[in-house]
Amino acid sequence: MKRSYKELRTELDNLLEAIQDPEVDIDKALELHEQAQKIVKELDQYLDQSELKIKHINTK
Amino acid sequence: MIGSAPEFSVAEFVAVFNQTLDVAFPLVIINGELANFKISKNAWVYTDLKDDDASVRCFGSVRVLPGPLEDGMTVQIVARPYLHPQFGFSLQLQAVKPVGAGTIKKAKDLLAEKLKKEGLFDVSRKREVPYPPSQIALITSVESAGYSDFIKIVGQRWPALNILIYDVLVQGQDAPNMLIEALESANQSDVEAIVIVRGGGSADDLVAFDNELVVRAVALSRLPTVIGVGHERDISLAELAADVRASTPSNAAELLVPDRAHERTVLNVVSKNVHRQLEDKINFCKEQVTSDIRDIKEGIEGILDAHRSQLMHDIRLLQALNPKIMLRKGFVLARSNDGVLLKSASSATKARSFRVEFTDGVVSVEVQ
Repeated sequence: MKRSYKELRTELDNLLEAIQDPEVDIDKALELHEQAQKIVKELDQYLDQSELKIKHINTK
Repeated sequence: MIGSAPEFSVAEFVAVFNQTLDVAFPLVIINGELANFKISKNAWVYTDLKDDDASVRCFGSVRVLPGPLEDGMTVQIVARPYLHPQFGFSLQLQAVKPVGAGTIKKAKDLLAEKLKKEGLFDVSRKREVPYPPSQIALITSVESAGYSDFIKIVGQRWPALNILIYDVLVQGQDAPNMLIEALESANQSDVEAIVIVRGGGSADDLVAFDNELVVRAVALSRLPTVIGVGHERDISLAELAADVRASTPSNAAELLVPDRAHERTVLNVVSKNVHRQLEDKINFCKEQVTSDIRDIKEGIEGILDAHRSQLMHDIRLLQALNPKIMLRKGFVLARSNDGVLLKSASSATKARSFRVEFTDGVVSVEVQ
């Protein structure tokens, strides 16, 4: 299931915080960096969407 | 005259009379002032509707009331005239709404006080709206300026949004019921938030958003609600009950979703930050390795220096102990003819003949 923008943003912030941890070694930092780049790519897709998706529910 | 008049029993007359009313006046709209207004068992409303010259009895369910009312208020009712077999003539209320700015405001104030006491407007009830949401329900009239404004702003700021649109009347007699039904339907969908908007209008135009049942439906909504009705100065009771109150439909769009351009800038900064953090870590590791190499080098050189010093000391010691140096100082070495070192006079005497080594050569010696 596609994750929401907010979920992805939160995860990106968490990855940034994790990379800054001095206890994290270089191997782990590389792994976190790779994960972060994937998330940035997904977030870009959200921002690149150009049209609202509208559906009318019959009420009147 | 009397001879041509129709003749009925009482019951027959009541039935015929009501049938006549059903044909002639199935529904009537009457403006008047409330008098002897009373609620019974929280279910039924009894009131007189009067003007300067006449008064008529009204009866109905409390569900038709827009909110608390009281004697002296001017209202417009929609009612069905009816002659009850036992209780006489009355107007069966189908809808009641306050009319006139003064009455509308009075009714709103009464309802606001009642709902405030119940805690419907408490800040503690407010919930967060997902920011940004992926899918929302939008309850509005698609013919209204409020709808156009909202869609335009949301489309500019955040097109990555799915919108289920519930097209309803946002003013008039049927508006409250349509708003309530749309809210109930939206609450059964899988949207993350419900947005209700309409543009500006007179107090009478906006009265549906001060309807008690509408306000309660908003307060009881399972999903968080964002409501923007009218202009900045208009504050409806539905907005007070909502989780987020927007001053206008455009403001509702601004509160609901971020600005995509700003978000892209923030994302770039965060992405660069992640990259920089990794670079910093790599550089730190490089510095650590360089420092460790330096330490190792210094350690090795230290050990080598220590060995060099020891070696120099040993060399000097050896040199100092070199027998050739002793010969230069005037000492001699006596050896037997077969090379054995003679260390005493007695061993030299015993050998009888031996060789004596001087710094510049060897001399043979005979003991006499």
